[in-house]
Amino acid sequence: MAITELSLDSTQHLVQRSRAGDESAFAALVEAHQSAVFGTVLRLVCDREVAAEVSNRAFFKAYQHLAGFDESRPLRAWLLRIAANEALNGLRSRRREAGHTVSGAEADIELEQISGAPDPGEIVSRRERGAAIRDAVSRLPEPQRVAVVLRYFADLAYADIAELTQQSVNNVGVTLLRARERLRRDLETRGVTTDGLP
Amino acid sequence: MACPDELTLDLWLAGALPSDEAAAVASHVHTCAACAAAEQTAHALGTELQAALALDAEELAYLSGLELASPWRTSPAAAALSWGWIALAGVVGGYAAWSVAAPGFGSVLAAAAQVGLGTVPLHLALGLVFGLGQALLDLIRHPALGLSQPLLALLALALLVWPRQLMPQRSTRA
Repeated sequence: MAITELSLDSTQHLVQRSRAGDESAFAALVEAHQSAVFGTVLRLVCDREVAAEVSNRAFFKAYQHLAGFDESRPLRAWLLRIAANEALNGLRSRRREAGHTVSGAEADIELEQISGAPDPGEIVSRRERGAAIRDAVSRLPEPQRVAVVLRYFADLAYADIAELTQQSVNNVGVTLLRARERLRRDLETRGVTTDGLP
Repeated sequence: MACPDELTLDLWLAGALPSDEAAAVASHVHTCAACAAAEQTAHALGTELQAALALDAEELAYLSGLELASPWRTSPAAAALSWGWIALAGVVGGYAAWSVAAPGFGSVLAAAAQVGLGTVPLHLALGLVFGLGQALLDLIRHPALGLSQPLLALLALALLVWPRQLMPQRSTRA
């Protein structure tokens, strides 16, 4: 992940300057965290232009609510929480507009349909292994996709994911186990070997 | 200790177990080949997923083209705010200027007529300006329309807030 790392002191200093109205300080914070924020949103919404808009909105919201940020906690997790919420809200409103929600059960059905898809070897040959995994992640039901992206892309602790998704740490663990199992099944149906997956 | 279940092992690897339970799992894993293998598999999986989900070169190039940080350097919120203040100043200033100047139009018109400058073009021009201005003021103040200076002031105040609400919608495309 290409993130310009800032020390804790630098971050706190920039946050304080941003609160005082120094927009260049906030720009520095955006620059340091834009890769994490944009990447997390992109992996959740699977659309670059939407991810760009959501990221921008998330940073704007963060700027507006910077006064309420608890400096004793990591800024990155706070930003990612805002970004993930914005992304999920966007996804839900888009689904309402489309009148279609891919629930876990529906996703199961789709997965069964995929298993009958022709020539999985050809599909795999066209794509990199990483791309195949990304695609499989994008097909996960929303709660599982959120947990996987926050854990394996954003590198958030289970406790942070639990807080963001408003569930217990144990439930985060269960969600991730199920997500990995689903990924394995999905990738197998596409002819991708999954050494690391259960 | 018996082999921990899959969830417990996962929580231990993630550092999400209470310290006493984590210590028990750790001592077990160090002596259990099956659990050690499961730990290795989990690490491999984490590495593989992290690598797969990381932004690729194309996505990073797209991100750098967005220049997400640059709008903050151009002070978009301040720019939006200034338009609201300009609108408010315009309403207040316009009302004050008209209140002062309106009686003056009549005086100028009368004075011009007295000193013999009441030629037709000048009379018409001043009459037109005065008439249009008065009609506009009457329209604004007309109770049937419900429009008033306070309403205009509210409109101007709304302009202070409205563009800020729209700011998140602005395009970020390079």
